[in-house]
Amino acid sequence: MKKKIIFLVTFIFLADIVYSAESFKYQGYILNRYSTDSSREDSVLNPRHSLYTPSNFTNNVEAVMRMNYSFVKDTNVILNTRYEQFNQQNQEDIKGYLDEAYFKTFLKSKCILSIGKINIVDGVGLSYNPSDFLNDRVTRNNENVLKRADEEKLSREGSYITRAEIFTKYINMNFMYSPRFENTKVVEDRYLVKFSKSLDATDVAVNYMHGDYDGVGCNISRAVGDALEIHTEVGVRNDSQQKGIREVAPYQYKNYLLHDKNDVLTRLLIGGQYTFTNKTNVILEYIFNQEGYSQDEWDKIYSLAKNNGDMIYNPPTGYPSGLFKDNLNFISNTIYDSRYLRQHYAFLRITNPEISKKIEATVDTLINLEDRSLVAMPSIDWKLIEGHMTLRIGTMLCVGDKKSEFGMTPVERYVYGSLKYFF
Amino acid sequence: MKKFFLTVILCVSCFANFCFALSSEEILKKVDDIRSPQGSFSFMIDISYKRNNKETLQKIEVLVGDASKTLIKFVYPPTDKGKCLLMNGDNLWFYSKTIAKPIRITPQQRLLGAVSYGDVARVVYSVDYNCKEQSNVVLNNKKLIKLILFAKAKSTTYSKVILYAEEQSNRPYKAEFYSLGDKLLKTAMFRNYALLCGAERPSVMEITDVLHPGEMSTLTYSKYETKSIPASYFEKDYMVNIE
Repeated sequence: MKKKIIFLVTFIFLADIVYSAESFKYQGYILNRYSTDSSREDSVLNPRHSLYTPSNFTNNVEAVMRMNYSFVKDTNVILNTRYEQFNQQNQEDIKGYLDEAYFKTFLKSKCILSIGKINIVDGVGLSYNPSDFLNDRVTRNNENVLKRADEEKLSREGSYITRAEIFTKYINMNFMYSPRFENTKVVEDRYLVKFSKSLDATDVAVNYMHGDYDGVGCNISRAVGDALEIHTEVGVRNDSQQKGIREVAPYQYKNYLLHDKNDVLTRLLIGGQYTFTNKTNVILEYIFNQEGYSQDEWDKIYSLAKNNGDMIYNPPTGYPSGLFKDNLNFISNTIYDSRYLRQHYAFLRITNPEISKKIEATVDTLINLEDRSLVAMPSIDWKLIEGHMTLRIGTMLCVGDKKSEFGMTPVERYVYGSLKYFF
Repeated sequence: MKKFFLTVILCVSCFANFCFALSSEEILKKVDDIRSPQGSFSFMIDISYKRNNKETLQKIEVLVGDASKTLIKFVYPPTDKGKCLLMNGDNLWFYSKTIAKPIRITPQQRLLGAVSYGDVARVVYSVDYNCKEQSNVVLNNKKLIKLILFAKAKSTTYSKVILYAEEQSNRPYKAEFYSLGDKLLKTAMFRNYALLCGAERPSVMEITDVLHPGEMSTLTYSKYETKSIPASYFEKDYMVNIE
C-alpha cells in the first residue's frame, strides 16, 4: 500500500512538472538482450571453472530515458535515468541509476552555467580518452561487457560538477569544480579548466586538472580532404592507480601501487577515420598507456595466477584449497581494476551503415600489440522499423594464447541478440 | 516628328532599363531574401524521401544565426533524436550522442535520399557562390532569369549551380546542381509559395536525383519564427549540450 502511495505521489509530481514546463523533451530506448557465453575450461584465471561457473544464458533489460524540462527561456533541467535488470542462473539483479541530474542556464548569450550530476565525455578518441580526467578512474564494469566503447561512455554515472562554459570570438573556455563524495562527505575537490579553438580545418583543445592529482591534456583533430579525419589525444598526469602484487608471507599476497605517486605518466592516442564512397567507415587508433604492465610485471602476475590456480586442486600440505581460490580471485580483481592492462594497443572499427537498406554491420577490434591477443565484436543491426526498432545480432570473441591478456579471460565467447526500441 | 518622339521614348526606355536593371548579384540577393528571412530565426523541415513506393521521413529543426551560421537539430525519427549538425562558415560538424564528440563532415555528404547536409545547412546561395553569368530564358512558359553560380571555395556543396528565378518577382523557380566535373547531379524545384515569416516564400523544395531517376526527396518548410538565438549555439563545443 505504501509503495502504491509513493508511486502515485511521484506520478502526480512528475505529471505536474511536465504540465507546467515551457517545453518538455525526452528521448530514450528500451533494450532486451539475450546472451550466452562459452567459458574456457583451462583459463588461467578460472581453471576448471573453479571460480566462475558459466552462466550459459543471460537476459538483460535496459531502459534509458533522458528528459529535458524548460521552465523559463534558456533554463533547463536535465534528468538522465537508467534501469538495468539482469536475469542469470535464476537470479535477478535490478539496478537503477540517475546518470545525470543537472540544471543548466544561459547567464548571457555566450555563457552557460551548469550545476548538478553531469556525465562529461571529453576527448577526441573513440576507444580511449587519456585527457578525460573526470572519468579516468571509472573501473571496468562487467555488466557493460557487450557494449561498444562509445555506448559504454553513455552508460555511466556522471560527476558532481559546477561548470561555466564561456564562448568568445577567439577562444572557448570551460571552468569546472567537481567535489567527490564519500558517504555524503566531500573527500576530494577537483578543479578543471579547458580552452578550445577551431582553426580552419583543425580543432585544438587543452585542459588542466588540479585536485587529488594533477593532469594536463591536449586534443587535436583535423579534417583532411573530404573523407579523412585524423586526431590525437594526450594526457600527462601523476598518481597512477595501476597495482602490482607481491607475496608478503607464504601464499599471502598484497597489492601495491606500481608507480610512485609523483611519477609523471603519459597516455596517448593517435588515430584517424576514413569514409569510403560506399559509406564504409574505418577508424584506426593506436593507444599508448605508460601506466600499463611491462613484460616482466606481466610474467610475474601470470606466474602467480598459474601457481595459485594449480594449487586449488593440489594444495600444499597444511593449506586449504579455498586459500588458493581466494588468492586467484584477489589476483584477478587486482589486475582487472584497470581498463588497459598493458602499454600498447590498437583499436580498429569498420562500419558500413548500409550493407543493404535495412542492415548495418560493425566490427570493433581491440588488439594488444604486445602479446598479439585481441577482442573482436562483430555485429549486425537489422532495422526492423526504420528509425524506431533495431535487432542486433552479435558476438564477442577473446582470442590469444593462455598467457596473453585476452587469452586468459575466463569467457572465450559471447553470442547475443538484442531488440532495441527507441522513443 | 513622330519618328523623333518614338526614338526618344525608345532611348529613354533603354537607358532606364540599363540604369535600373538589377545586376546578377542583386538578383541573387533578392532570391536569397525570398528564400530566408534576415537576422536570426528558426524553422522546421520535414524531409520525405520516396523510393520504390516507400517513403522515409525525417524532421529537423533549423536555427539560423546569420547566413553563415546554422545549427540543425534532428527531431524525428527517435533514433535520430539528439543528433545535430553545425555549419559555421565553411566548417561543418556532426554530433551524435553515440559517437560522443563532434566530427567534421563535408557538406556533400548525404543526409537522406538526394538531400545533402549542405542543402539544409545553408539557407542562401550568396555566401558560397559568385554569380558570373546572367541571361533571360523561357521555361515551361515562364519568363525566367538564368543565373550561373560558381563556388567560391572547393569545400562548397556544389561546384556550380544554375538558378532560375522569375523575371518579375525574382522568386526562385528551379535550380540545377553540378559536380566538379560539370556533371549534373540533381535538380530542385521551388514550389508552394506561402506567407512565411512575413513574406511569400517557397514552402516546398522538391529535389530529383539525376543519377537515381524515380527517387524524389521533398523538403517542406514550416514554423518560421524570427527570434534571438544565443551566439554560443553556433560554437562546436556547444554541440554536446544540444537536447
